[in-house]
Amino acid sequence: MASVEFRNVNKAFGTNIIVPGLNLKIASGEFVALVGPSGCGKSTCLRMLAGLEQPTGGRIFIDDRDVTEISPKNRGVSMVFQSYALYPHMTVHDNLAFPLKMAKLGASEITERINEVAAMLDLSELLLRKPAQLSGGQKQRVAMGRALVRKPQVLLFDEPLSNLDAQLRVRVRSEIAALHERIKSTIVYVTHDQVEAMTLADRIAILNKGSLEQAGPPLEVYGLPRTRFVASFIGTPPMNFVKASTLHGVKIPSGTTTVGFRPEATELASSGELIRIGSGKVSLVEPLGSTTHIHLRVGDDSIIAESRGTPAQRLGDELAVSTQASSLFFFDANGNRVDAGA
Amino acid sequence: MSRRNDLWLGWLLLFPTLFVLGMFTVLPALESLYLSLFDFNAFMTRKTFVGLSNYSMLLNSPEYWQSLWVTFYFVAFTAIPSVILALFVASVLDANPFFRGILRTVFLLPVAVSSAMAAMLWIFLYNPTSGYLNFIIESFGFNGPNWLGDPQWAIPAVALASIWKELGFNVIFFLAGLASVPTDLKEAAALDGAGPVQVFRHVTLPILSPTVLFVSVISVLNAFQSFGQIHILTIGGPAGATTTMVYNLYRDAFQNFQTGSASAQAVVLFIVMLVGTSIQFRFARSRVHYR
Repeated sequence: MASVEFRNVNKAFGTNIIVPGLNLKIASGEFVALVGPSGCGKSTCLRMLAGLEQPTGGRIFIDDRDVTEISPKNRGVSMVFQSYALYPHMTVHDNLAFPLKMAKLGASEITERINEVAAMLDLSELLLRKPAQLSGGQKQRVAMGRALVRKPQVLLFDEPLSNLDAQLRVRVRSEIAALHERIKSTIVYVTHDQVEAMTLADRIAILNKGSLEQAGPPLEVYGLPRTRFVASFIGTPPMNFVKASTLHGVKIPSGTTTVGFRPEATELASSGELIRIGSGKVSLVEPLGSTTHIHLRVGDDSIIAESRGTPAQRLGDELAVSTQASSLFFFDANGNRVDAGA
Repeated sequence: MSRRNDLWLGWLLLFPTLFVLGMFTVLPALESLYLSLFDFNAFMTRKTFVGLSNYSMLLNSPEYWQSLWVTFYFVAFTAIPSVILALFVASVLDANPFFRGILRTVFLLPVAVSSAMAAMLWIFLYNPTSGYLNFIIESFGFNGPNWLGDPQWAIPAVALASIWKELGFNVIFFLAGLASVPTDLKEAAALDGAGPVQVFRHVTLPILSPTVLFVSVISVLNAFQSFGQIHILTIGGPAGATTTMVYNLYRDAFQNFQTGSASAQAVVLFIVMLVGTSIQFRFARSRVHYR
């Protein structure tokens, strides 16, 4: 276990600035998810931490040791790649043994560590197989095993579930959570899937165009998004936004240009206790079983309402859209959240 | 379309390939096999069935056995260094994308040059009195050998010219193979503690193994069939030092007009190449990884 610190780390490819300046501290044993849309620089940050990319500026520390110039093999980090990166010509056993052989460990210790990891990840039956003979989930477990067998100080995951189907993703997700619970290692996990980030991480760091928008525990980030970007990125379906000028009957803090409210806080009715957003026609109904997403067009804005069960609304129905005053989030012209009391 | 029509269409589409292969490969091969059983010359002045006596004459001919050893010597001197050197050059180019484009062209240029022109260039370089090679050697205080006139040096000299000529061809194949090695794997190996040499040995080379096998087989077959360089550089000499099986065959077929004997030599050459290639495949079976 080790702490990690990005101190004003920046990265540019030619004139293209990918990470303008990242400052982030990760405590020892913490599970931090770096999330953000494609191209936001989260994988670049992870690769800089692994030593696979050299930062253009700034320093990276692992346990207060400046590792910026240190080669990947001497950083004490292991990585699980999006493609698994299993050596196709080696058996599972040899894949697991490879980092240990490179570390010049003795044969008995190699066997002991492989058995330990194989037992932990349920790989014992697969040791003689080659990667081509494994399913996606099994490959994923072997990749995790190869990363764990070195007993790294920091474990890195680069979108490890993106190649799995939805069902398997849920299962492997729970395996990763259980693994972290067991080994208590420092984990930096890159994903664009906010569900993975929310369910696995102690803290999530949301990146936008290489800049850190917000870092905090998942529910804090969800409940108190610092910026409009975070509010729109965290939460499925994303937060609804309307112009502040369209709202009446509620105190809007000065400087507010946009008001947001979550789909689950959206009511398709109006009453005196609710803040009326407007009315619009149903443009799409998405029944998901336990909930239904109803898309409406209110003026120039697209609104999504989340209802429990299978409501009676049909395409083209004209409905009133309202929400609780306490569910509103206020944002200024720069996209920063404005306090309701301001 | 009915199944019968499908079948006809299939044969129709295959016909051009089958025709060309049949006319220019299978028939001449069968014709060679047939002619190898006759005492026959190119002017058709005699054609006598002699059974396997052309083969027994070859097996009892010390000159033919020498040409066989010269061929093996030449193949070993050409194919092995050519594959190793091409792999090295391709790996260096692959690691330096900045120089890759221009150097790839530089290495490929000799392939585009005709064998005759390339051989003439090497004749100038190898000239014992005015050649550039000996000029360099003598500048270090040593006496340069008579490259093409000394039986000891003739094969290495012709082999070097052949390697230079074919290197770019092999480099291109290796560069294509190296481009298909996933970067993720090399990065994973680097994170697993492997240095550049270990990454190459444990990751790149096994993944590249099908390309290595292909290039090795092609290089060996090319070396077995090498003719142009030998014909222009040494004419099979000195004292038969560069008379390979192919060159011996050429002499019997087109200078001595012993078509029957030459046909038997073609058949023996085919068998030797077939055995050589089979040995390569057998050796590679457990070492080549196909993805």
